[in-house]
Amino acid sequence: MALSSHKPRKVPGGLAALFLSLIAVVLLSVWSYEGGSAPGSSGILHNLRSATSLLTTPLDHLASFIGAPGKAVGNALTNLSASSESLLELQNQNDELVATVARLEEYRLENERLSKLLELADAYSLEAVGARILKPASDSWNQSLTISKGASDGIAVGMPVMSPNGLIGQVEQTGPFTSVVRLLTDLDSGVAVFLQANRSEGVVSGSVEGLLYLRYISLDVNVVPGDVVVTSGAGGVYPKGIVVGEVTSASYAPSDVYQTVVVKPLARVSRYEEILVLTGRQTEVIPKQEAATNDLEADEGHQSGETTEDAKAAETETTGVAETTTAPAATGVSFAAKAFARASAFAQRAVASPVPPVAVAARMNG
Amino acid sequence: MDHTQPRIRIMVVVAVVAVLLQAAVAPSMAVMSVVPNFMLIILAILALHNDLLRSTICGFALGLVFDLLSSGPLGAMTLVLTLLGYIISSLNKYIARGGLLVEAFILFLAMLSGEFLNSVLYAITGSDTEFLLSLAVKVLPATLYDTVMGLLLLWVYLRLFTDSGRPNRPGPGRPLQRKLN
Repeated sequence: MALSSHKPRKVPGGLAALFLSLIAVVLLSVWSYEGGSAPGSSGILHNLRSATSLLTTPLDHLASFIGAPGKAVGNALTNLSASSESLLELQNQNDELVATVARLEEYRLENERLSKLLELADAYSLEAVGARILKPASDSWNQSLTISKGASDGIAVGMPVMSPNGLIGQVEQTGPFTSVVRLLTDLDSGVAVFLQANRSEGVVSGSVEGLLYLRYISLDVNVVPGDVVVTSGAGGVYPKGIVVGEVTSASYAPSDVYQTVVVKPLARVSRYEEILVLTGRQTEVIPKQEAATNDLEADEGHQSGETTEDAKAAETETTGVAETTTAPAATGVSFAAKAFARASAFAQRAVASPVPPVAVAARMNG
Repeated sequence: MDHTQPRIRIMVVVAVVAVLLQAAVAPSMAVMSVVPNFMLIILAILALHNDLLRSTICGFALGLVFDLLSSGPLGAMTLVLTLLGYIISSLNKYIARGGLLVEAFILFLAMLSGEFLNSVLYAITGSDTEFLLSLAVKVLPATLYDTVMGLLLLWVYLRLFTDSGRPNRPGPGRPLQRKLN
């Protein structure tokens, strides 16, 4: 009788809501404790998200398949709307670019000679893996891409990603067969850069409205629309000299400490189906770099260590990416900082020439 | 006759469709970097037609999957959808006689509060967002986009899973509902 009157207890909805909300809060707290969205963060929840990417790989390819017709239609419409006037303008631009490439090639050769003098390897001799863009972010708040290469192809968290026109972002998460790239325009992105024209250093970071802002540029620096912004290499995450974008406006209020500089990214992600992930430096170059590092250590003693700390601190303070230096180029962190310090000193001494073009010796694996 | 099992089955099927839409279709539907949040939309629709417990659990599950698929703070959307599932479902008894218009209005409020809460959680977890700016360029456009998609999906849901295509009217059900039964 006692058994027949026993009924399953019904869990009240309010209690369930409270319990599940608490779990969500714990998840959020653990996520933040693990470093949140900062590149290089790791922990149980970050690993869980990486593991999930294995399950969602078929969905990523499905998204790529679904998105392809839309992209093709968009391109076709853009081409149709191109007038003869714009075609003529493009031809003129092409002529100018050919001349510029020739001039920049001269700079590159000059740079090679100067690099030899400094016993620095060509910072742009980099190994890269080609990957296909599968899909953009699946939510409004993150600016990211899912690409078709993962840890099994040598991709690691923190590696820089670029298109033929310049820097796109950084690998944020890797699965076995896919990776997620955080774009420069993402809220949590930050790249140490300098203005090509006057070598003023700052940090380019993304914003909620999708624009790039160049921060920490003093009021006394003359910033002109059209100035090219390139990576400075500080912090050791991004190689020096990769084009990021060009200045579109610069302004400040009398009470401001720094200028508000808006940068237009040169690499428009939506236009490219393939991108390059910079996986490291060419193997034959590394011994030379290490040799140069040893020489620098002998020459500069603890001073170079301070420079490393300064470079890390600057990027950490401004971008919140404290761990990024450990991820992609762990072996080259101290080298990169020292190379940056050496290059800065060198630049102050003599060279006032523009930054050479990025000559990525890309080993296209994909 | 126990109506619980078919309702749960419908809920699971619709939730799976939401995951597929979010992961595979939503990225291609971005307009000015605003992507529809199918998890939020589907949760709101399901919560309008289900009880407190099921809606809350469904919100938690959908939110967790959304967080695992995205690259934002893990737990943010889980919390938002859990709370919304509970709140929307608890409003059911008050809006049962209101009809489609009231459901549409609740849907709009759900989208607005969902996107708004998400932006607050982003700010709390350390993203460098300006409140008014994020409200103008993300929350409001996303709310509008979600509401439009939500109305469309609500109409589809009512056509497939309720009698006469009207909300909260019990009956023999549409062909798809009968099949799931």
